[in-house]
Amino acid sequence: MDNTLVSVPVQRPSDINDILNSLKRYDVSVIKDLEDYLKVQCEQNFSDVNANLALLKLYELSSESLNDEREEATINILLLGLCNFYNIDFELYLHLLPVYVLADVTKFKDLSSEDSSIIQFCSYVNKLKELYVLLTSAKFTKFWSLLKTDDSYQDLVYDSYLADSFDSNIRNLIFNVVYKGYSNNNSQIKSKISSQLLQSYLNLNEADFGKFIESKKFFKINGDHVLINHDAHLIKNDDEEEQKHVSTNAHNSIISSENIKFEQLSRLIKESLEK
Amino acid sequence: MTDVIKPSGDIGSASSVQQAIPDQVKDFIRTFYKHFLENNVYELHGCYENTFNKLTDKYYTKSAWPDPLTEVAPLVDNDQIFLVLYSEVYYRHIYAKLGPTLEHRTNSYNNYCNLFNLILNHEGGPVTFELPAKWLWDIVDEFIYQFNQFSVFRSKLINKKNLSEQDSAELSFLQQHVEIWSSYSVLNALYSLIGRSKIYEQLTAQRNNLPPSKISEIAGPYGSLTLYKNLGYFSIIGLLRIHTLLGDFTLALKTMEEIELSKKSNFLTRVPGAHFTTYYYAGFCYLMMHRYADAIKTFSHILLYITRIKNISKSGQYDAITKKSEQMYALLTILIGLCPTRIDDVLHNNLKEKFSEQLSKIVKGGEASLKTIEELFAFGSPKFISISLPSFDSPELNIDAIHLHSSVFMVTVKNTVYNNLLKTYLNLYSSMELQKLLNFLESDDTKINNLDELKEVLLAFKLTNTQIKWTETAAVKTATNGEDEEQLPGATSGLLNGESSNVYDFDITINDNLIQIIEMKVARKFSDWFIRNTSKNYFVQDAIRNDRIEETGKEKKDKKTKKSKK
Repeated sequence: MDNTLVSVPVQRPSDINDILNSLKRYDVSVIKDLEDYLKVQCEQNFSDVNANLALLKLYELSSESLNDEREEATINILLLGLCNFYNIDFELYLHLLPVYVLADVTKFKDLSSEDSSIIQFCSYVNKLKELYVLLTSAKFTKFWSLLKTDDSYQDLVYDSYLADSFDSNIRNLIFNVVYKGYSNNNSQIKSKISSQLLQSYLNLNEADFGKFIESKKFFKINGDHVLINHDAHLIKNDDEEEQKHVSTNAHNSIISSENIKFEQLSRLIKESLEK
Repeated sequence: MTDVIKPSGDIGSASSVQQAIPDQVKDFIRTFYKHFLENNVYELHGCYENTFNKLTDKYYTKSAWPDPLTEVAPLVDNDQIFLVLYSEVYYRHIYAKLGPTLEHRTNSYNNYCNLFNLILNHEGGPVTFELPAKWLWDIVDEFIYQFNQFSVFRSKLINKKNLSEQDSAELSFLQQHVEIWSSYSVLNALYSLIGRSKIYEQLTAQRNNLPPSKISEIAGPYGSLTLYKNLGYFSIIGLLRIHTLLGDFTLALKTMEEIELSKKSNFLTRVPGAHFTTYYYAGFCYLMMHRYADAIKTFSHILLYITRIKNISKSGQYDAITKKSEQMYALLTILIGLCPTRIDDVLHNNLKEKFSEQLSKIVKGGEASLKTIEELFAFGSPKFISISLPSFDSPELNIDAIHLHSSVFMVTVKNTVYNNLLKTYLNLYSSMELQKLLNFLESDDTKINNLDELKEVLLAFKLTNTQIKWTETAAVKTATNGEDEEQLPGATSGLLNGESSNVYDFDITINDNLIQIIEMKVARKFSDWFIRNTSKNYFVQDAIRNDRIEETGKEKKDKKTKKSKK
């Protein structure tokens, strides 16, 4: 889990930065800028939580009716959130959507036909939430089977700006989670995970799975298992990222020392002198 | 707004016109006005805080105070500024005691607009009058409260099934005047107050220890005046509250960037209402962001403070505080259940007194715990507001915002449903076969059927076992920090800062069909406990000696010698 809320993505242009740090963030005229920026995020494969939150809030504040742009942007933002399911981005986005999005749509009986787009929108959001629940509860096999077998899910994901990168993003994240769960820093023990299990987590066929594992340093297929070396490196290749992850499972004994100021003891010393 | 519809059966003006104003009240209004003209903040505070409430109890428990325009204006030379201020109190009293009509709500809104316009865009520079800090806080507080109330009132009216004639008239009025109490205007007012007072710049300058002359230079002609400075400061807290109510927890904490939560000489402590509000909403935001440790720290701090001042605070404010602290205990129960943490004994006892049943349910885990958490959440959360306008055409879409926020919050919480149960087993081992764990869990009636599912549960545990936690290293250290004092979140820099850390005091790694458990218990600090209890011991000894009963001293001495060895 990274604290994405305080870090500013390096890709954020200065005009977006201006908007976010001034009252312009409440100006409906910047909706277009933020929507364009969202596209850039999807194309360049990064996500700027604060910018997207500002966009969602503006939609709500402007009380604009649910138009196509708004629907498209919202879905893309939520997909970006899924691609970061390791953080709580997705939840923060949900909090800023219209209040009815997660309601049981079947209960809306009196809605006129023009509101059918609202029902449609609710069902999209509910579907994305369903995917998020599967990812965060580590039901990866189920996640892929739902995504790959249900047409409505397919349309949702593969008609978005993220169509090309979605699978590989999620796959890498899942791999990250597995790595965190299975690696340890004890050089005596080599962790392993059943190939079959990992393969189904990642939803890859035999050949692609082999390639995928090969591309990861310090991971090796050994018979029907994948070995995970104790100082294995992460899929992301920037050093900082590796450092952080390697250390999390480290079992360091902590030597705690306490500093006691002399003043704190003054009363005790005074008392004992008086005796 | 002149075309306000006149609801029939008005409680306010109709009844009060009939009776003449009692002389005592007349005198009071005149004195109130006199002190206002003299800019005597001390006396104003007395009038506002004491006399007003006393007279309310005596004459106005069931009716409104004299009408500002028809009755009070002649008494105060028709002074427009004073009348705006008086109206603020007048409407607040109606809200508190009588239940406002749509007309009251609209007029009160307009009065706030006038008040803020007066303060922000006064001809010829800043206004010259001065108001007590308590009153200024109440203005900001009430402004948001009425905004909140208005959205409740409106959605109730829209969702009403059988509309009376008056209802439909009010409804169409609301539809035509969506600008009344709109989120935009409320945010605008608060941001303008902050901007005028340059409060952020002032606080940054203060943090950088700039000399006072430099700070007042930065503050400018408005911000250097107490009235503007206080209003700006309170508006920041107001924003924290509004953003939370609207569901934007990130921005809520971000607005608090420059306010230091734990400073002892904090300005906040002087206005209790502001103090509690800040901690409640900051803690709530942490909860919503699943930063449990930070939320626990924030709530504990303020709840301890409340228990300490309980006996000295005035009864008037006490009701509101009791309600808020009950809510915080409810949230704290959720937090302790999700993130087992040692809290102060006093708090622990209070919590047990109020919510022990709920706590044990949550700790037990399983599906039953989820319902308990939802109930506590509903009790402890503030009254959320939907940011957008309600839909007038399809009332069905106007669902109470709490349903959205609660179900989103529960998404992650549902993944923790087995965590406490897992904890009880995993705490006993340093490594174990998964099959064995599965057998244990099966006997507990969980829905985990095979090893693959167990592995999923364990990975999910791994995912929920991380949280962002405010740390000193993440923040910029300042030289004035006491090393031994436990730092509250945001003690030295923004509340959003933090690093990844574990929720539980252990972690797991899986290795095929084996699980390893790593203990990460943080050693407790003993020195403080030791010193405190030795002092307590001395204190008891003194008391005993004063009573000339010296027999029991022996036992204490043993304790002392043990400690002196350390």
